[in-house]
Amino acid sequence: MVQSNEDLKASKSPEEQLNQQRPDKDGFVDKAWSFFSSMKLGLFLLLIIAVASIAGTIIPQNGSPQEYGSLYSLYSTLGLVDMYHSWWFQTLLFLLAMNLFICSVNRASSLWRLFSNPRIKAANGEISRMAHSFQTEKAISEESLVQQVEDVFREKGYRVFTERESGKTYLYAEKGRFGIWGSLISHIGLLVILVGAVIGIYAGQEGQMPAEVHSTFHIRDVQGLGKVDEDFDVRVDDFKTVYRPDGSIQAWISRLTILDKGQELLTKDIEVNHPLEIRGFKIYQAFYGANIPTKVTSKEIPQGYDFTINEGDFIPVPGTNLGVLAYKYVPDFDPQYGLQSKSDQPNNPRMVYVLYRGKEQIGVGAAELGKTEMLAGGEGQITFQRYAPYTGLTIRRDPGVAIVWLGCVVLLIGLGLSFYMPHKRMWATVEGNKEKSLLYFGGFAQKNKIAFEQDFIQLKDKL
Amino acid sequence: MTDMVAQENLLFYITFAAYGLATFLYIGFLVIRNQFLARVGYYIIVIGVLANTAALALRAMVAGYVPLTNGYEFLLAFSWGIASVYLFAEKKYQIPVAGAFVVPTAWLILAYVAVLMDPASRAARPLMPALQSNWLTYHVITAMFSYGAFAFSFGVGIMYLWKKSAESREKQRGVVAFLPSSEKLDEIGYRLIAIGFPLLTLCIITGAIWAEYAWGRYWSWDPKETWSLITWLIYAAYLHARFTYGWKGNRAAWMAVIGFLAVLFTFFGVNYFLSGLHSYAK
Repeated sequence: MVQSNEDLKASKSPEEQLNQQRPDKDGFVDKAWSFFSSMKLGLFLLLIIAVASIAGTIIPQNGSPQEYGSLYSLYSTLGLVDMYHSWWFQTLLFLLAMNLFICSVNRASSLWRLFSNPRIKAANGEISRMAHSFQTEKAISEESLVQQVEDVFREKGYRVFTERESGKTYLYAEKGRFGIWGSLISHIGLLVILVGAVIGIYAGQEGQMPAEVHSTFHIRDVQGLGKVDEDFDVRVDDFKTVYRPDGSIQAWISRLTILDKGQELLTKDIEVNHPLEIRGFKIYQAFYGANIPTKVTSKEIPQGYDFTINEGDFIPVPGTNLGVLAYKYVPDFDPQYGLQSKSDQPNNPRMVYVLYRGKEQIGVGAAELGKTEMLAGGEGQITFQRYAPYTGLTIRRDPGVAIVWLGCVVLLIGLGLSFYMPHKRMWATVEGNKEKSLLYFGGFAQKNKIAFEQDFIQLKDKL
Repeated sequence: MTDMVAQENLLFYITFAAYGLATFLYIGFLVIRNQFLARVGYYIIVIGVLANTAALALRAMVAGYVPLTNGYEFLLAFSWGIASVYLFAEKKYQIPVAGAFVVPTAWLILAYVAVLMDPASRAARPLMPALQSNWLTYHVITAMFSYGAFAFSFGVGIMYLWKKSAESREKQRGVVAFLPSSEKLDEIGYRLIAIGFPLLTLCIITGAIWAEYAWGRYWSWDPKETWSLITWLIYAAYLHARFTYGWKGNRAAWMAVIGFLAVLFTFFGVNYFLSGLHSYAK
């Protein structure tokens, strides 16, 4: 996929004749090559990827089978449940990458010729068929007219080449020749981004870790991370939620210390938008909660069960039809304040719970942490042992990210050259003697024709 | 504080009125072809942009952050982008008649805010942790300018389609005859896309960098991300078709129109029909 392979087109306008063409070939490899380098394929892929992406935004992605109802089996066969990672979508992206790559290779040599060895001579006939051209006769010598044309070009910042041949002077002037590389560079940038993305898919790792405050975990014990070569521990020194005066949340902050075999390496406060980086891993503040180790017993089952629950969980009491909803933790409980905590300090930590018999609500209470609470006159007992807040960390390693950013920089440089540095070219011939000379003068720009026209008119006025 | 909120509200309505009046003047200019109307329209937009800027500045003072985070703030910035790019492009390309096709978009966006957004959803809200990032600011500023450029190319695309259909039927009387030649419109439409496209790319990249800091993923195929990519693909196709197949004229104009519809859907459609990470923007 190449932005402007105007230089390869088969049409016969003078613009094209000034550029080189690639000879046609017939072999299978050449056919495959020309198929992959065709702009038709590139355009087709761009549009088909756009249309498929629309489908992916309409059909919910990565939902549970229930969400799709009867369509689930159809969707999952067609890869629509996780469309962006389905084999056919990835194939489309791969084909686009191939197209980008082959087009870039194809273009490089002709761009190099255009850049390093521009064609200096253009016949009068060619010049007069260019997008802009004019001719004029001046009552000055050929030499001084050539000099005048050169000066006018240079004044406008053009680079001028002059060649004299068989009684005629040929001039070529160009500006913004680095712009030629814009489209190639931007396509290379896109390829680099795709390479980075693929590396991320195959070598990237992501895990989630709910880590209690004051606890330490080893990097290899993080759920979902897979195989880890690094060897360090993470200690959670603190976790807090910072509120604004109006009660809204300003930040969640975890203070983490990284330890290598017991040796403290660094301590950092992380929050959303400010992850910690250590040996290729990034640790993000992602979620939070609290673990509540809980014991439930009843007359029938006196040995009871131990759970670790969270706020909002419902715990059935074994051997009875009772159930307890652990409604809300209140660090400084005071009956006058109800569910509101009197202060942030755990002066009177209680778990406010709702007791159910079957589906019927039969009571509410505020259980003191660590003390056994009688339920329904001793039919059951529950103990909320302690309230252990944890910080939810996402831990990622993606060796492709740096490559993606590199690709982005290359892409932006390419687009900048391509769109803000248009390549403008002009040709002229001067023919004459000591008294009078004839000037043919013409040129064109592939991009930004308006600016070119302004340049051209200004030059013309000076000649 | 309440004083500032009231002033900000007043500035919003001044901006709204200015873009409305300018729309009216430019359409008047198109119909009766009196240069004076376009002149006045231009200065009314200047006033509108000043009021728009002041409204955004006041919002920044009220909220205490760069005011580009919720739907109201973004729409205010969107209309700012359209009007500012308009002021620049009208002068640069000497095409005052474009006002009748571009300024209404800025006005309609504010009309949407005035009619459909209740005061609660317009109010400054405390910034949730994920939105506290400088990258968000760069992200929205680049969006503002690129969308402004695309809005202009959309207006010019409409002009082109109208002009062209009249040219082909050789019926060029009245208003249509007054429009610039179709070649000129085609080239101007392209220029605006050529300005907007690198900015859209930058917008997507800054968004990706922000997402990497906030969520650890530079790309997660969330509907808004995907729609910005769809928009990007449409404009990329436009540019490629133009340079290789010489797709100009009608097909190019249609793509410019479709491209801007995709821009609008990225904002409105995704917020109201689809859900995802960007749901805070509602």
